[in-house]
Amino acid sequence: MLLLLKLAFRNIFRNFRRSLLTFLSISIGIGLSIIIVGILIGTEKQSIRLLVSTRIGHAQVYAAGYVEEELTLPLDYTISGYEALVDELLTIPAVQTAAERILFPATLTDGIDELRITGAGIDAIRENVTFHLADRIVDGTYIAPGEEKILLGDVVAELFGKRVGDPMTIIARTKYGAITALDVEIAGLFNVGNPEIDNNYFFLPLDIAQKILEMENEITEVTLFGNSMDEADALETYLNGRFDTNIYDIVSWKYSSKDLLKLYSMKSKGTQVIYLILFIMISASIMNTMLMSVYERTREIGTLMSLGFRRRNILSLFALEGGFLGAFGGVIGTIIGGAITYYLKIYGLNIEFMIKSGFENFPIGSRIYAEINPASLFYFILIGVSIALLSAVYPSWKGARMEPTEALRAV
Amino acid sequence: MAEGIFLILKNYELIMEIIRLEKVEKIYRSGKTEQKALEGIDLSITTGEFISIAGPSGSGKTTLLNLIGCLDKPTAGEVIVDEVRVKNLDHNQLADLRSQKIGFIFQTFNLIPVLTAYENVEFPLLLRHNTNAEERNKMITGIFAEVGLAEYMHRRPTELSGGQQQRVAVVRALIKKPKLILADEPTANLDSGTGKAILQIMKELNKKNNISFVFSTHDRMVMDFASRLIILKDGKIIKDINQDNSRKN
Repeated sequence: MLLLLKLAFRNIFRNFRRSLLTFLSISIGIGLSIIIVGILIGTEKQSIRLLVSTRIGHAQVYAAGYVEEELTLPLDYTISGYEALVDELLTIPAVQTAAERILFPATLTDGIDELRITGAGIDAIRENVTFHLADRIVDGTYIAPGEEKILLGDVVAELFGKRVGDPMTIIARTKYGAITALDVEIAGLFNVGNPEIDNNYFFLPLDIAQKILEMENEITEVTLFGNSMDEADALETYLNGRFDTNIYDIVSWKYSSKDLLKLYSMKSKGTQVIYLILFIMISASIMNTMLMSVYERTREIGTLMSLGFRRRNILSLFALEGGFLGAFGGVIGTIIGGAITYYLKIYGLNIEFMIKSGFENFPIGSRIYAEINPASLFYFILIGVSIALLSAVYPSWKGARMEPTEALRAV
Repeated sequence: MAEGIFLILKNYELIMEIIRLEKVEKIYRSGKTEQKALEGIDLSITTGEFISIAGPSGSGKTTLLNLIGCLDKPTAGEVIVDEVRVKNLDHNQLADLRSQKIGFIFQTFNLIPVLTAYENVEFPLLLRHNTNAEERNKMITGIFAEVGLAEYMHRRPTELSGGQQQRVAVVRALIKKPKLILADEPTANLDSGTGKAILQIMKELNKKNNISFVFSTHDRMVMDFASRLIILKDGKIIKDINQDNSRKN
């Protein structure tokens, strides 16, 4: 075996330029795969984290029946006497923070232009404790109970050409279906980093929302944070056991972000196709190198056979050469790909140009941060070696099945 | 007495038959075309012989060497190598037989370019797994000194002249102490002086180790070197001359 290893190792340096090209194609293929995987996983985690931290929390409590129709933001399924519910939720050790909200469909107008938008009536204090909204104000001030003022996304304000202090009108339907309107003043502009919120939401004090929607002492949801996203399922189970499910719909972030998760699962199939193409490229490059090697060394194969090399020794020799190329390419590709991915994890990748070209509402922000799992890097080295070995099988087999006399006759 | 073996007490030396060919025929087929390369070959080679196989191109010299060397099997007839009938062996058994009993020397030297001269010679020993590193080192350095290549041991083939490469190839064939060494036109790629020196070495090793040498050649000088000359024509042996006896006469 040592003899085979020595021969295989030295043989890969025989045609240095060709080996280098093969090695580069493996390194680049593996390196690119690591970077693509890192960015995709980073994007997925970042967008879900952003959605959780700015919109859905770890879990939500709705009135029973709400989640079936949540897309229309119905006001028919409301939670009355929510103060007691929120207080009870906050006594649960696994619940860190909770904030009550009314989400409602609205139209925002300045008398000239209008925009269909989601209104969010919030308890200003609890909302800030839960989502740190006051920290996301980029201009003006935060809102306080009783003020007929709103917080508007800076993008939306720019769209209307409005500034802090300017008046706007909210048009909405009350709980009973009547059209209602309220003149408000822009208290502040926010940017939470989630385009879904920044482009489609405005916030107003809960009591004002309750007043215009005729929902006194009612809300549509309580959003809460537990200890971590990973424990959200356990929290959901616990809450469903503790509260009457005939009265409440209680769901975790996984339910609320199901569309996003589905999108990522579809995307991961697309990623598999990219891998396949990359791996075919690597494979073709190795197969080409090994076939050339077999043809060039035909007489040497004959010599080895005359010295007593068995067919399986010839097969192993070429397979090992492929394996070495795969291993070196895999290791270097993994190191380079890992280093770039690590850089993207720390400093991120500016994707503002993408955001502005069709991904305006995608919950990701303008900079994405890659994810890297050091343990998974070993799989990439393993993949490099496996592809190289598999690709070397045919050329090796071709070399091994030669008849010694035929091989020795080769020029 | 075992089949394929005869013992003759000649000048107090034990002579054993190591190769016997019985009515050997070799036909190459390509589509519907058949080409008879060898026909009705009967041949016996005993230990310590120094044989030259001569004949014009296409007479079947290389085919005969390939059959004797177990690199190929006959279409008909029997090839018996040291009591073993080749016909019944598979690829692996043939490889093992070559590894144990036969050494090869090629016209183009055929050293493994990525191995040094020392490693090329060590190669057949490593395949046989019956020596340790110390034994191998002793054998290899000894034999390199014997053929005057001690200072070139750790050079790669490309750093050696043609004559030096062929001497390494001779040493590689000899190191495992085979019963028989086959050489296909061993001096064809060398100048006459170097070729003669290689033949001298082969002859000395033949005498010293009692290993049989069989080589094919076109070269008159090489033919004269042999103690037995076999001449082939159109796939048949037309002459089998004991040159030692001829010279005495």
